[in-house]
Amino acid sequence: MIRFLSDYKIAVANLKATRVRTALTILGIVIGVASVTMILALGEGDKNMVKTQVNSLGENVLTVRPGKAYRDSSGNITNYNFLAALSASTLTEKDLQSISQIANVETAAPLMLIAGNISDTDGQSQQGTIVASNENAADALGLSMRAGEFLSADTPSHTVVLGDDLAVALIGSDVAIGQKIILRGQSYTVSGILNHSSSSASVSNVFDINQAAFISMDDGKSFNQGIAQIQQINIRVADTSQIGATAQSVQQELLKNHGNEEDFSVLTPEEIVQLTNTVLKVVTSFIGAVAAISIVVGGVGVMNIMLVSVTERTREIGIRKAVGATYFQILSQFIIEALLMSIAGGVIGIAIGYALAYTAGTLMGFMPGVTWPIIGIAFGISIGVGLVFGAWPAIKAARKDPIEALRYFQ
Amino acid sequence: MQPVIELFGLSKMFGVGDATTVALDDINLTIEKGEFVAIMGPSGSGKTTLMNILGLLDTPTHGEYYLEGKAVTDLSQHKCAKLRRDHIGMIFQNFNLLSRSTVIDNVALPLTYRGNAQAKRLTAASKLLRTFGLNEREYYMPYQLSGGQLQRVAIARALVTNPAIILADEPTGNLDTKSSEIIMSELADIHMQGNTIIMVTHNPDVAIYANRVIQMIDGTVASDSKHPETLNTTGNKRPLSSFRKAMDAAVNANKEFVEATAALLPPKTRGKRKAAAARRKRMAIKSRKAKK
Repeated sequence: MIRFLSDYKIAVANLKATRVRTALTILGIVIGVASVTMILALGEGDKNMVKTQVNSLGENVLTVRPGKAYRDSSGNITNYNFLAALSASTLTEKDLQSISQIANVETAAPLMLIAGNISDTDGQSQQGTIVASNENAADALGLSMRAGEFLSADTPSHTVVLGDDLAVALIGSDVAIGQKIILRGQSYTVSGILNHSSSSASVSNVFDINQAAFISMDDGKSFNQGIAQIQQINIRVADTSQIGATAQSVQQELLKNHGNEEDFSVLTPEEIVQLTNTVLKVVTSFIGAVAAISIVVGGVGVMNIMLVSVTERTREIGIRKAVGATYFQILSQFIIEALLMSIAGGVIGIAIGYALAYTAGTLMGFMPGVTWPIIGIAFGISIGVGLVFGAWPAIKAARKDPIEALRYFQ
Repeated sequence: MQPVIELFGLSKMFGVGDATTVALDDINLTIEKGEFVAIMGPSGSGKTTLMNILGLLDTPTHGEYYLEGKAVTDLSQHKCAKLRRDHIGMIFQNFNLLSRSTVIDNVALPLTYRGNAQAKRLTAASKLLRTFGLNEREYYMPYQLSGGQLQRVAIARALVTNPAIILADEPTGNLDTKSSEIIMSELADIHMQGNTIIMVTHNPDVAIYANRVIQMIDGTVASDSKHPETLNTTGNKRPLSSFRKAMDAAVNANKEFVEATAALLPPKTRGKRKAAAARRKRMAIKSRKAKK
């Protein structure tokens, strides 16, 4: 212990004696550790965002969509082209019924998106989406009412429930019900207006709830020559712990309906969120590769400088050996010196990495995660770099022949 | 009494095949505790190689080396380092102090490797420096001291672990006459306190401080003359005139030999490849001389 303390003092003195060189070497480590910290913090932030989205979606919601999702051996979705699948939905009302009868399925709501003009009674068009669904939609999508009530089984036809943004745009109020609006040229009565929804991932990439006009399935079919074109079925399960088993039952039931052709996919909340974050994944894995490279480059910098230092101090090593320093005492002196540089670089790098992560996070719209494991990993990497890249120069120093070393001309 | 150093049939060779150079050739030597030995000889006679082996910095090719009765020839490097630290103090011609450490840290360096606490290290170092009159220079850097002072710091460093033997390789080689005298009287003092000193030197004026002079030629012990009386009985730092005469004779013999070989060996023939042949020639001259 005493020796390590004196090794530490020797190392500090030597590093101070070559300030600029030390600072530049540390800079290399700083860049590496900063990028690792940033990537880990962004990854953690991404994970947090997924968690938040899953929570807002509800952990007990399964989503059925047309189109096959390709999964790898561990069950992660590797490829899923739902936009292409939207053009020719394979989901039918029969599927909806089959799903409703499965145990543990509390409610199942179809979503049928209808293209068409939405306008007020004066003919002023507004941007929005016509969505046909059933009375379960409010529950399955987690919608709540600001005014009036949602669609129910005995709601008369030509009744519409509006998202709050669309309501304000069409009728200038988000509480007035009983007003008329025009959907695809037909007059509809507003029976309810929704609370503002922070759009959940299961629907946000299909349509914006705040811009939606919900109508009944029968009204929806009347716009589509009497045929139901269901783009998505949201299922709320009763027992969240059984959600995996329920997903499988849904899968099996639908396979039966579809003649064993898997032209649909049953997605858990996590999978839905995953799909929305693929771009971020590409970005993070790219920065990850850069971080790994810069760590190695930083380490090579440490090794380089340590080798120079060992050569410069050949005579010093000879003197130390002559007065009785053992192999391990010389080894530890140089390892500690390399470690000091890499740890200093690590500490600064973690701080800079978080600063960068916050900047990047602000631009991307989410906060990076600050956790001890990330700091631990980044710190561990910096120690590892010092040990790995400091080892060879230290071994080289410790192996020096004292006679040769003492003869070395400085 | 157990001798401090015993060498039996010690040889050291460098190189392989035709290029083999015999640096030490079958050296048998016993050094008792409390002796002050001066090893003299021309360049290339194996003095430094012998010192390196005695200091456990190098290992012999053949033969046995007993340090304080313990065989040390086949010890691991780790054990050699520990023996160096605890039993051997080294003094060099060019001082070999750490240029970036203070005087007191330099002196305390061997204690650092022994694992002593800082307070203990510095106390011991400070105490020694005071005996050398350097107590006011403790926190000076080496470049702020004169040559004589630097060598005294080096001697203090060699003494700090209270070693069994002190090895000095040309301790006055880089010093002027006055500083040399000071350093040698310091060493003589240390010797009188009971320390064993083995010193390599070219300089007969320095060798007279020793009470035993070993003359080395071509890796062998050519002569080994002991002082008739030990110094510490008289308290006289200067050796007796009879000893001086014996020593002068040895030095002159050495000079003659060097001149004779120099005449036979033009500098150009001293290439590495021809080293062996040159050595054979020299051996021949030596044997002829012995016959006379």
